[in-house]
Amino acid sequence: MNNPSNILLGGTNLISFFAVPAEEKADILDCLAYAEINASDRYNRKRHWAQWIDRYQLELYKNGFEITDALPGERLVLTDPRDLYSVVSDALETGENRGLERLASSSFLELLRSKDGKAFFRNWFSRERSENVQIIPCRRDSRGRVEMLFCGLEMLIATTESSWFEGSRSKIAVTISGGEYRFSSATYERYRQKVESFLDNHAREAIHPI
Amino acid sequence: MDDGMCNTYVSAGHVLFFADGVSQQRKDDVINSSLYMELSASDKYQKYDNVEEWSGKCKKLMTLFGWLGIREDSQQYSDDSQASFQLDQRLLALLGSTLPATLVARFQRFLAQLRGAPGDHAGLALLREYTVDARPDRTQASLALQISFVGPGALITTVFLSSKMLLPISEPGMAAHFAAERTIGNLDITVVSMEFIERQYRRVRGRIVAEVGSARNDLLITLEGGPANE
Repeated sequence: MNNPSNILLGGTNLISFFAVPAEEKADILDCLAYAEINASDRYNRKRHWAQWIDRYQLELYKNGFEITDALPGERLVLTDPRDLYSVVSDALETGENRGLERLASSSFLELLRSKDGKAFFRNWFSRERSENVQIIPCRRDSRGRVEMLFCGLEMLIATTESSWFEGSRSKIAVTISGGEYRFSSATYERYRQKVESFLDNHAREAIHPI
Repeated sequence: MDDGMCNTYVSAGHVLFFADGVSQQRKDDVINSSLYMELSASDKYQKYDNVEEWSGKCKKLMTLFGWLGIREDSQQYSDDSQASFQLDQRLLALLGSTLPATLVARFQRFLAQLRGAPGDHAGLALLREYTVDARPDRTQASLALQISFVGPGALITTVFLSSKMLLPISEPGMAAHFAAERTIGNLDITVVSMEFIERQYRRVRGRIVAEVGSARNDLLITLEGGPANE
């Protein structure tokens, strides 16, 4: 994650900003936090990821994000973890906004090379597990609008026992879900007070006496 | 509170280096939130025995306070590692390329102080109290130290350093962990680079100031410059 505009939140959301002004960046971070808290209040991200990610996007929509394209919602199965990047990258580059999709691919590659990415694959052949990450690149387009790709990836690793001489085999099922959005400060103005007072209360409640 | 000159502080078990030009408001925000993190995490976990949980709690609070992570690197060395090196040189190698030269120079002076004789500066005495395990029944010499560098923009680099060495050790306090040549015992260095989003911190500023208000008088000392609380 060498690009200083990449932000990794809680180890599961990789958010990148490219030429996005500071005020709009702070607004988008607020909206993502609002969506995250509300989606997680309703659904367990690990156990009900599909519902969680739908709810997350609904919260974005309810705060003025305009959806411009949907990701295909594919489920892919791999047997070699080294194929993960190329398979996800190919699946991403099917929409209309190639620039954003390339940014998502490069962010995903950086995540795989990061400490969290390496930790995920450390037990590739020995454990069953599920993980999900959200890759969220944002950039300002040539007309000054902010575009955002919300790309959720759920990865389920399953290890099956074969015969004694073949040993165990692992496979990974990857589900991609999300969409492309446009954010406008003017539209967000209508929702700002609601989002900010919700986050103010949430933050204050998290501070306990010491 | 503003002395306009202080740039290096000890805040309980956390050393904070501020680049020239960092506003007093930013310094106060970082100092107060770091103090709250230390006290809150230590309320929940005994940091020498549960350093991973303790630093995990700190990182959660960092996110809540708007210290948003952009990069994390860690180096871990277990008990059976045979290598030996100078810890201060390793830290400088890890941080040197990411920090301004003035902060690196100040960090080098701090490392030299750590290797010095005990019983000197009040800031170092406070730091020892909050970073060195002094429990009488301990079986290892443990150090759990946090170091942060605050740049002129919104960037903060924090090092979580945990070191355990078998007793007896050759030098008292922190000095043994920073001895010129040490055989690696049980060592964990995690470097987290963060961006400070002030809007997020503003949400908690009032509560944090109220929570750390009285503790700040006892647990904050300048390491270079004048008094911390004016």
